[in-house]
Amino acid sequence: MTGLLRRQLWGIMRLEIRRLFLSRMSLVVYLLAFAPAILLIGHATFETRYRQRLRSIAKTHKPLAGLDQVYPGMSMQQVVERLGRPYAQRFGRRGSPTVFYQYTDGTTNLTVVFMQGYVWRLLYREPTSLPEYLRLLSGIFNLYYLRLGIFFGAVWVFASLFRGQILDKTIHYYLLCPVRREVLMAGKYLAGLLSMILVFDLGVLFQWIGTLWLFDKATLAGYLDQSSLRQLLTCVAVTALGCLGYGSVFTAVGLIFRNPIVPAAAILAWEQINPFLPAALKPLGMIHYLQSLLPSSAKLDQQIPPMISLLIRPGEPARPTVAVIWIVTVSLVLLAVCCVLARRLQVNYATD
Amino acid sequence: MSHDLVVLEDVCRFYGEVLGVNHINLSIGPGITSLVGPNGSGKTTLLSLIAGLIRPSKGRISVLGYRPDQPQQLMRILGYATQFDSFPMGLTGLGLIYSLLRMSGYPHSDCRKMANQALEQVGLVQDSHRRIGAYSKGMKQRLKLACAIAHQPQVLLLDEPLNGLDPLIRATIIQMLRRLGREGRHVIISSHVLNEVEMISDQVVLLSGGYVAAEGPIHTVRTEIKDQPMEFLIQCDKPRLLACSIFQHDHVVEARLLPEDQGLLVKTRDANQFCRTICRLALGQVQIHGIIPTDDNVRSIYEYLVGNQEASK
Ligand SMILES: Nc1ncnc2c1ncn2[C@@H]1O[C@H](COP(=O)(O)OP(=O)(O)OP(=O)(O)O)[C@@H](O)[C@H]1O
Ligand SMILES: [Mg+2]
Repeated sequence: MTGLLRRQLWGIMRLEIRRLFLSRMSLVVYLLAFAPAILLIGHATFETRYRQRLRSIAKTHKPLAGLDQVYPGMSMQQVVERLGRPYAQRFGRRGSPTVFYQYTDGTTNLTVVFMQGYVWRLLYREPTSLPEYLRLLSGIFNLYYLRLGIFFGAVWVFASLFRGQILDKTIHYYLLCPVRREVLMAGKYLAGLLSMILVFDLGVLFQWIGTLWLFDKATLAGYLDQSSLRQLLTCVAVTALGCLGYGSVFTAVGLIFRNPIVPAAAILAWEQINPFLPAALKPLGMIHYLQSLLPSSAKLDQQIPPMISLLIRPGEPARPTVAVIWIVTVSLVLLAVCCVLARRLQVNYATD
Repeated sequence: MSHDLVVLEDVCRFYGEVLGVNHINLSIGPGITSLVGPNGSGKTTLLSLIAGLIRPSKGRISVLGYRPDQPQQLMRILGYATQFDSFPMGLTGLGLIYSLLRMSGYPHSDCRKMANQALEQVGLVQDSHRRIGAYSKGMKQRLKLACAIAHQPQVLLLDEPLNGLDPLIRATIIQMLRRLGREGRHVIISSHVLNEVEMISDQVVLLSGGYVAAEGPIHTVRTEIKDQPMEFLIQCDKPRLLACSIFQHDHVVEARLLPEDQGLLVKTRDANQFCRTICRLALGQVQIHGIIPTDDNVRSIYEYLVGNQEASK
């Protein structure tokens, strides 16, 4: 790359990145990227407090035996003999014969429900385990992040690369610079790509941090083996690939259509129905290949309702190399189309 | 292709059905050239065509030998201050010019120097660190100018550059344009007021309805226009009689009776004298119902452009 080209690319990118990060519109992108992380961190905060509370209760109201020593059908007196007095006691609504006793051993919370003085149900609330959280993370990534978050983020960022500037009548400043339109296109795309990858990969990292935070070093050391690390790295890489693929799609959309909303909705619909398409049509699209790259989809099956597992599991996953090559190739082709469109671009604000 | 001319050969540009400019043939040399015409006459269209922001529907354009579809070469020698008052968000005046120069590939240190020089020339140095959003209209106008001249282009296109400037600033800007013209640069200015630019222009191009109505040095254009007869349609009760009497005056070059009493078409070289003559006749035996100037010609545009002073002389 010649010095001039490099300087031009960087000149475009610094202006564009600035525009992307500072514009009020980018709040939407931050929200899309960080919503799950915010929820998870919020949950973790809440959960930590709750666990602390249980621990401090257990110090003063330690049950006399293990919480699994009571059974349905026992009388209230038998329960109290086994476990001692509950740390909290609640009565059902007026006139109802139910009574709730709460016990905790510091980690698990047990609610004993008495009906007419006898144990009717036992409700255990155990702390969610790390593997379950990891499954949750991969579920969030698959169902929300990949299908909606990155998708809408890309619509927002890439479709407005050119269209946004045409709408606010500033694209001519760029077009009046002695820069090839192809270089302009590349600079804008790279700026969008870098910003998207940064924001959405940070989103992924924060989701993990928000979750792992709940566990102490010992638990983490036990579970965080190679495979969960690979899960994280895969999420990070697939996020980047998603940005790359959807980015090129919506750069083109923004150059072709006056109003990118309609084509974006059409593409969204197509990507969403992908799992229900016949096998021959599945490969036409991005989501199929992105999902093929996710390792954890097979492990998820047991507890998940069939509809959702259908959404998560690509019918016949493509091989990772094929998936990556497909996404990169399609992106390059689309970017070539974008270059042609950028060359043809005219400043004709009145009609836009 | 000439290497010191801006050449347009039979250039047409349509916006769908709407005519932007039509059959434009121009060769513009160094110095200050003014594109003058009323609103919608195609000035902006012509400038944008030269800058390559829009493509001609037909015809060829060459700017000192460069084609407008090669921005990487053309924009090195061309600066264009457009008529749009919009700026990229969140930048200061200095920041904008600096960023655009960086984008053009100049090294960091040059960019700062060039940006400051440009701002100095338009008198914006003091406000260069303020956000553009807080600029007044005149300041924005000057900033656009600074953007266009920052890389010291050989060809400068300015779309109504004097709009919204107070007399003092206007004088400085005009001085700057004159200097650029003297330096042998091609400065092309558009305006809808001839008086505003005729003093500084070496050449004027009168545009009307998308066509070049007249072009050349200002005095040539003036005489060319003066010599063009004006045409009026006169409706009266005795057109034949009127035709006879009016034809005796020197300034009338043609009088033609329209069939079916539609009236009398008269061409005159001197509109004022013609009006006086008609008034005199109207006081006599002919009853005049109306006088309609039928011309859509250069002269009426010209009179529009120079305002009423010339016409009322
Ligand atoms: N984007 C467009 N779409 C449709 N018609 C257009 C467009 N831009 C210009 N025109 C038409 O082209 C003709 C020339 O317009 P242009 O903007 O070049 O005029 P102008 O001389 O710059 O006018 P003004 O003095 O108002 O700036 C006008 O009839 C206008 O209606
Ligand atoms: Mg105009």
